[in-house]
Amino acid sequence: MAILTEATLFALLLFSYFYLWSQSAQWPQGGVESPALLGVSLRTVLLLASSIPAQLAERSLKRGDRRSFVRYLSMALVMAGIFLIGHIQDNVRDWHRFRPSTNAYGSLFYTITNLHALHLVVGMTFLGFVLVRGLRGTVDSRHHRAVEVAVLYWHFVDVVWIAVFSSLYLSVRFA
Amino acid sequence: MTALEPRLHGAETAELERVWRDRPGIAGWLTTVDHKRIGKRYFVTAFTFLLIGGLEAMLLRAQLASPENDLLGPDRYNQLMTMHGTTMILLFNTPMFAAFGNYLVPLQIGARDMAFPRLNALSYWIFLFSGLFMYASFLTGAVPNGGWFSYAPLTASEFSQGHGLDFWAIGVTFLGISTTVGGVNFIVTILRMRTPGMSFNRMPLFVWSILTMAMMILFALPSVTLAGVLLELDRSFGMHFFDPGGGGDPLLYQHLFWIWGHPEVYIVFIPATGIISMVIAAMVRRPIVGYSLVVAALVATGFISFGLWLHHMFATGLPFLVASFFSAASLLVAIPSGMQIFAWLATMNEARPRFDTPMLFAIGFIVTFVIGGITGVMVAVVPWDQAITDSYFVVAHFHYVLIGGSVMPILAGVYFWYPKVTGRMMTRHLGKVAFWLIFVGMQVTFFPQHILGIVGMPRRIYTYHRGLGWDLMNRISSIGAGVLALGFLTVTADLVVSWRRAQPAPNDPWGAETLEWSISSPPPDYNFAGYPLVGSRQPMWDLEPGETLATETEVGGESLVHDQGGHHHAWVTSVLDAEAVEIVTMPTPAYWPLFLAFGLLMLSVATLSQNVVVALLGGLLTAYSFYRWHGGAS
Amino acid sequence: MRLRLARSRTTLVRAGLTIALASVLAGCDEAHSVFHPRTTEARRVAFLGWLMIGIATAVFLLVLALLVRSFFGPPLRRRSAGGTSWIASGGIALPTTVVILLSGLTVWAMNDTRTGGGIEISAIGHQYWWEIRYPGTAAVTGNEFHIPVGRSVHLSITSTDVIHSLWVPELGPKRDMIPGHTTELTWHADEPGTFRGQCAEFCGLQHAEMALIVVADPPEVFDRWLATQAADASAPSTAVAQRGEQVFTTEPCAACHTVRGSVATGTVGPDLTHFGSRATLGAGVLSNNAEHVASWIANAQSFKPGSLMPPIDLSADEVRDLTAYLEGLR
Repeated sequence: MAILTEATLFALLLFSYFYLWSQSAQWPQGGVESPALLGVSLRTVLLLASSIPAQLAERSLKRGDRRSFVRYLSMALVMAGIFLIGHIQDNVRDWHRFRPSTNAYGSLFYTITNLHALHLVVGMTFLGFVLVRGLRGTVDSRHHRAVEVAVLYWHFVDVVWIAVFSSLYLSVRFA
Repeated sequence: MTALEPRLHGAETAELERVWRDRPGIAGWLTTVDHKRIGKRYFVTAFTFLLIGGLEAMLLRAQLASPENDLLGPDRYNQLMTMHGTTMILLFNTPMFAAFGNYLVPLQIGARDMAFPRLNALSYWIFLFSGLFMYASFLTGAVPNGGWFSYAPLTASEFSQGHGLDFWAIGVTFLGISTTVGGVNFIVTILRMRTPGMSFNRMPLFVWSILTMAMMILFALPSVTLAGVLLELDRSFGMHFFDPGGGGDPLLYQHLFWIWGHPEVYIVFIPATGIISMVIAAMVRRPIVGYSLVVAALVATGFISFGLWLHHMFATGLPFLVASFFSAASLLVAIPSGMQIFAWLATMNEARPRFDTPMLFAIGFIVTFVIGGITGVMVAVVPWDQAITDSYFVVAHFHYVLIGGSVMPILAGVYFWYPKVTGRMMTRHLGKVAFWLIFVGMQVTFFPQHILGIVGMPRRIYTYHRGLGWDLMNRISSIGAGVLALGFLTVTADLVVSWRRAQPAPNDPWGAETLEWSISSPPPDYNFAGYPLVGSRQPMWDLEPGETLATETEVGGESLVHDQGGHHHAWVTSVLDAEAVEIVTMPTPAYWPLFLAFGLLMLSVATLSQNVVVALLGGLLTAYSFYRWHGGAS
Repeated sequence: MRLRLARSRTTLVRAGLTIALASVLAGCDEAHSVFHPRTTEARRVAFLGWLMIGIATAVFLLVLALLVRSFFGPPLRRRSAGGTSWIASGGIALPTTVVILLSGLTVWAMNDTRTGGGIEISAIGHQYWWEIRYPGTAAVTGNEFHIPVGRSVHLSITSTDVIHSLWVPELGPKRDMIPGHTTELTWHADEPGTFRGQCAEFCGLQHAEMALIVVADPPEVFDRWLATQAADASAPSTAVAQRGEQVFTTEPCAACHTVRGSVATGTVGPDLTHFGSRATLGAGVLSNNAEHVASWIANAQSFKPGSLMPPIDLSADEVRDLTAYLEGLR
C-alpha cells in the first residue's frame, strides 16, 4: 500500500519534470549541459542487478540456507552502496555547474534524484535490519515476512530508478 | 463522568475484558490503540475544529454584512478566510470521516480492531499535532493568508514574507502523513479482517464507501504533499518550481494542488453517502435498493474523480481539446451520484420513513446536495464556469455540496450512532430544532450567494463598495450565517445535554441491519467475544425476534476468549470471500505512536524555524520510536 | 405529527423556491451582471446560464416530488415500479441525457469567436492595478480603457507579479493573468456603455480593491479616444498646473509613474499621461476628483493599505498644485 503512495509521488514529480520541459524554450534550462551518461549508466546497471542477489537472498532464507542469505544480502548492499557513493560524487561534481536554486531544471533534477537516493537509503536500512536479524536468527525459513517486505521495497526502489533514469538522463539525449 | 457499564455476557468475558482494557488514567489515555477510543478522539478534535472554523466564518460574514465595513482589515480578513477553508476541509471534514471509519468499520465487519492499531494511534496524534502546529501561527502573528489553496506565486517568499505560508505548507504536508497512513489502515482492515462469511458483496455500504475513500487517499494525497513540499522548497530553500523568473511555472502548482484537491472533495463526499445509506435503510427498515449499482456508483465516482482536476483551471487559458475533455468528465461524474440519489429515493418510497433526527438530516442532505450537484453540473460547462468561477456563485456551489453533501450526513451519522458510542439516547427535541436551524440557515446563507456571483462579486474580498447591488444579498447571507451558527451550537448543546441526562440506550435502538447493533451500547473493549457468523447483507434482520447473533469463539482449536499470555487475539480472513480464518496477535497499547508523532512535530518546527538542533533531536526521536515500534508489552 | 411536520417542510421549501426565483429575476436587472450581456461572447454565456437554470429547476422539482411522495404516498413494492428501474431511469438515463446535451452546448459555446480586422489590446496585471496597452500605438493607460463597438477586440493577458484575473461580467467570461504565460480573450461588443469589472483571482492584501472600468464606444468615438490616449500629455496651461508639474517631476512621483512627454518615466505604478480623463483612481477605490486626489496622494495607505503607493509628504500648496496638474492631464 505504502509503495503505491510513494510510486504516485514519483509519478507526479516526473509529471512536473515533463510539464516544465513542455513549457520551456530550452531544456535543460539556462544552458546547463545535459547530464553525462557514462557513469550513471554503469551505476544503473549495478543497481538494477542488485535486485538479483536480493531476490536470491529471500529464496535462500526460505530454503533455510542462512549462509547464502547473508552472502547474497551483503552483495546487494555493497552494490547499492557503490551506487549511492557514485550518486553523491555526481551531486558534488555537478554542484559547481548548477544547483537547485539555479533554475527550475536544477530544482527538479536535484530533488528527484535525491528523493530517490533517500528511498535508496531507506531501502538499504531495511535490508540492513533484515540482515542483522538473519545473523541473529530472528528471521528464518518460517518467519520471513520482514524479508519479503524489504526485498519488495528494494525492487520498488529499482523500478523507480528506471523511471527516473529514463526521464532525467536518457530522454534529454533522445528528445 | 462514569461510563455506563456494558452488559456482561457471562464470566467468560471477564478475562477478555481484563486483557483488552487500557491502562488506567493518563497512561491509558496516551497509549491506547483501541479503535473506538481513537475514533471518539478524532470526533471530538474534528468537531472542535468545526466550531473554530465556524467562528472564523461568522467573523467573515459579519465583516461582509455591510459594504465598506471596517470590522476586519484586509490582513486579518485574509488570514481568517485562509484558515476557515483550511480548517474546514483539512482539520474537520477529512478527519471526521476518519472518526466514523475508525469507530464503525471494525464493528461493521465483525472485527476486534483495525489491522494496525498502533498506526491508527499515530494517525490521530499526527492529526492533532498538525492542527496545533497550524494554529500556533496565531500565537506568532504570522498566520497563513494566501487563501486555502495558497496559489503560487502569491505564496512565494517574494510576495508572502514571514512564516505564515510556511505554517501552511509544512502543516499540510505533516497532516498528509496522518491521512495517508489512515488510508492504508482502512484498506488492509477491510480486505483482511472481515468476519467469516462477509464476502465483498455482503459488506455494508458504509464499509464500501470507506474502502473507496481509502483507495482514493492513497493516490490523491501524494499530490498535495508534493505541492506543499515544493512550495516550501521554493520559499525557504531558494528553488524555482513555481517561479516563472527561474524557469518554473505557477500553473504546475495548480496542477499538483488540484490533482489532490478534486479527489479530496469526493474523499469527503463518498463516505458521507455511505452514512446516508446506513441511515435511510434503518429509518425505512428496508435494504437500500440496487446494492450492486450503488457499489458500482461509489467506485465509479472514485475513479472518475481523478480525471476532473482541470475544471478548477478553466480560466487559465487551456487548449480547447483539454478543456472539453475535462468538461465532459466533470459532467459524467454526475451520473453515479444521480444513481445513488435515485437508489435512496426508491428505497424511501418502499415504506414510509420514520422522521427521527437522523432521517431529517438525510432528507436535508438530499435536498441540499441535489441543488449543489446541479450548480456543479452548471460549472462543468466551460463558458459558464469561465464566467462565474472565482465569484460567489462557485462559493455557493461548493458550500451546497459540502454542507449538504458532507456535513448533513455527518450530523445524520452523529444522531444515528450516538446511542451506540455513548450508551445514551439523545434528546428527542433538540435534534429537530438543530436540524431546522441548520437547514434553513444554510439556504438563507448560501442561496443569495449564487446571485452575488452572477452580479459580479468576486470571492475572497474583504469588502465591497456601496451601490453595486451587492448589499442586500450580503446582508441576507450574513443573517443566514447567524441562524446556521445557532444550529451548530444547538447540536453541541444536544451532545452535552444528552450525555448528562444519561438515558440508557439499548443495543439496537433503531432496529438497524448491521453488526454494530448486535453488541452492547457502548461496546465492550474487545467488541466481539467470538467472531459473528454472517450469511447475508443484513445480519441483524436475519434474526428472529428475541434471537441473538451467533458467534464462534474458537478457531482451529485455539480459543478467542481465553489466553494465558494476555495477548490480544483477532481473526483474519481471505480477501474476496472472507473464508479461511486464522488467528493473529494484535499489538498492545504503547507510547511509540505518540513519540513518533511528536518527533515529526519537532521536525516540522525545525523546518519552519530552520533550526538544526531541533531537527536533529526530532529526527532522533522519530527514528528511535520507529525502531522500538514493535516492541513493548502492555 | 409526522405528516404535519412533513407538510410544513414542503411549504417551507416551496416558499423558499419562490423567494429564490424572485431574487434571481431581481438580480438580472442589476448592472454588471452575467445576465446583462453586452457582447456576443457574454450572450452565449447568458443563454447557457438560463437554459441550465431551467433544466436545473426541472430536475430539482422532480427529486423534490419523489421525496415528498415518500412521505405521503403509498409504499411501492420492490418488484413493480420501485427498485432498480428508478436508478436506471432517474439515475442513469436522465443524467446521461442532460450530460450529452450540455456537452454539445459546451463545445458550441467554446468556439473561438475571434474574427479579423479587430484591435489588439494588451492587459497586464499588477498588485493592485491594471496596465493596458494598445500595441501598434503609443497608448498606455491604467485601470480604465475603451473598446470599439462592432469590432473584434482581442486581449493578450499576462501579469508581472502574482496571478490575477480579468473579469468584466457584462463583456464575457474571465481570463486569468498568469506571470510567465499569455492568455487570450475576445470581445465583440454590440452596444455602447460603461462596464465595471473586478480582479477575480486572490492576489493579496488589496485584491478587493482592484476594479476595472471598460467603456464601449461607437467606432468613430473610439478612434478619437485612442488618438488622444496615444498622444503625449498636453503641456500644463495654468501657472498652478505648471508648478504642479514641477512637483510631480521632482518629488517621488516620477520614480513610479510615467507621464509621456515629460521627464517622468517610472513604471512601478500606472501611466498617468491622461489621468484626468479617468472616472476613478486607485483602481476604483475612489472617484476621481480634486479632493480625492489630494487625500490619495497624502496617504494612499489609508484607503488601500498594502498597495505600493507610500504616503507622500507635501505642503498644502504643493498638493493643490499637483492636483491641478494631474486633473489637467486629459
